[in-house]
Amino acid sequence: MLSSAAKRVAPMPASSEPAAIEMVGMNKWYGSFHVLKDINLTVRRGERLVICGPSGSGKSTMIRCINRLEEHQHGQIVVDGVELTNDLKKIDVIRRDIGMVFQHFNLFPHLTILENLMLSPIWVRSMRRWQAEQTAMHYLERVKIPDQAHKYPGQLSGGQQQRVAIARALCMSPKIMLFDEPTSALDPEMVKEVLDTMVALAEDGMTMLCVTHEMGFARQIADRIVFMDQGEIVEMNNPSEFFSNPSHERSKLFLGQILY
Amino acid sequence: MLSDAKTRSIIIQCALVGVAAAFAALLVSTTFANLRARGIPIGFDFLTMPSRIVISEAILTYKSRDPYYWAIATGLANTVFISAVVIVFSSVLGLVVGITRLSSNPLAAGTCRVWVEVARNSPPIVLLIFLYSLWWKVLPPVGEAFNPLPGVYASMRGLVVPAISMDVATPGLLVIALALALAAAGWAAARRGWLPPLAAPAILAVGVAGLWIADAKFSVDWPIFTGSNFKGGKELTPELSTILIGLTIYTTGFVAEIVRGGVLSVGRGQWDAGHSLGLPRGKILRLIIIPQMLRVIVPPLNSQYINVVKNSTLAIAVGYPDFLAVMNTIISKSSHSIEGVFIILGVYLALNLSLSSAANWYNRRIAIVER
Repeated sequence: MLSSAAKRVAPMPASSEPAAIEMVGMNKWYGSFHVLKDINLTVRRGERLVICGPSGSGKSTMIRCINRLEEHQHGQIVVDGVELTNDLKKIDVIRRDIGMVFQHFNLFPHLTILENLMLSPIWVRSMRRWQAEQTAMHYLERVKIPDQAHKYPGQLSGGQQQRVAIARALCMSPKIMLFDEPTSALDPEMVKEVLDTMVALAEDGMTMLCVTHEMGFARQIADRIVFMDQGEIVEMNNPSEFFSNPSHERSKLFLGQILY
Repeated sequence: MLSDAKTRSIIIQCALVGVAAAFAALLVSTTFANLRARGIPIGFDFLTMPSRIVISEAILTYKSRDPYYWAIATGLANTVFISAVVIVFSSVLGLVVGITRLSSNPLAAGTCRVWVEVARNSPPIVLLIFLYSLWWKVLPPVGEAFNPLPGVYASMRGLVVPAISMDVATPGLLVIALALALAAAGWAAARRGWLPPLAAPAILAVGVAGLWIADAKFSVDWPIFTGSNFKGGKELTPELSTILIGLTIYTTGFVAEIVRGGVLSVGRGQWDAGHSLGLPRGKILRLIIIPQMLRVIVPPLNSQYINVVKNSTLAIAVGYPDFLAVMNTIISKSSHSIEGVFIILGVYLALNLSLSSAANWYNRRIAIVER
């Protein structure tokens, strides 16, 4: 159990794996608005983290800072031993090793599914075309839609598009995967196919940070749950403790609102 | 029966067509009657008669003893030449300026912004007259020609640029090589701008190899100052230079704004996705943003191209003989004003409808597939 005095100190997970992501005293402002306040968080390799909290609490902004889609103004973010600074080369190196899945899929609508998957292996990893195609088909099979390879994103259902987006990120063989509310824009009957894909990924030992409101999923795969509110990490705990015995008033309120 | 929607609409349309036809017939018969009463000849026979008008400069070869139709063709060629050059240059410059306006470098973005605002907010005729006056007021006499780029000289007499000519030993081979290169480029275009990294150099290599095998000799004719004028190279008169440069500056401003709007119309998420895959900014632009932007900007861009054709009539302000200027001379010389006006209307309509149908064809080709 965390005492309220210790709430800002990130507890280390029991594992002795090296750190994949380390955030120390990280702060971010949008103009004068303080979005992220003194974030301290260490994620070990192979760890699966679920981040939840009310909307506007800074969850998405925090994970977008990890691959520099957002810039932080103060403190440190170290990914795989490389610190994120304004050095564009380092940013590119870090981005190559972090896959990201977005709420609105963000597939490239002018390219076929296969081309969506082959784009960055060819242009970033300088892979040969046939090699990239092989990799792409491998991951399309993994997300169970190899038969859609030559269609365009607009011809697929939301669930299929999100699975394509996951496969596209995996084609770069990332070390870390970030999920930003991957099921929030989906019709209810498509949520399961996406979550199943993510569970399979978790079982393979991928380091995952996942912003989601799917509490069943969180309970099933998360090593730790991070609860954020108003730009702060309020509580961090293993799922059974977090759900059965939240230590903070704000966590209790939040859980009371979403678990009905 | 009259309450049936289909029947009623047919009756109304027939009535409207009848009224319009009657009105047109009235106009035509009155015009013919009046012209005949005044003894003004009507008809297109004059086209084959010698024109005896002077056209100060022409892309085609024209002598004043040529017939009227050739004078018309000469004017048309001048207009098509101006429009084509301005469209090509303003598209390329507009793409660069439009994208640079979105750059985070304040100096670059600011410069482009000034260009856009000046071009968009000044009447094109003012721009042309201003530029034309520069030839006389600012540029030196031919003996002290200003030399901004190697081989390019600007003086009161106009611009002199190097001329490139090609001498081919076996033209057949060259045609085959160029056809191959063109086919490769067509295939590339069909891939919707999405190419394996070596495609562009490969296409270029096919073309260059073709030129080499066909033993094509390029010779660049550099202008040389001989003491009184330039020998060699290609001379552009101040009039032609002004209309080309002025309309390009003007149109670039509009194209740049359309491009900027196009880039902004592609969602933030596409940039996020590109960045998260490790693609650098330039490649995101080229592979993701520009292909999607094209389908948004083609219709407004087409309107600008049509404007270029129409604005080329401003050539008259600096005394360059474009199609309209030639037609004006023809009308006053031959006194076939009605026919002349119809030719003018028909030609501009045909030019602009061809541009539109080309744009529509392109737009259909690159449409996003959905469902």
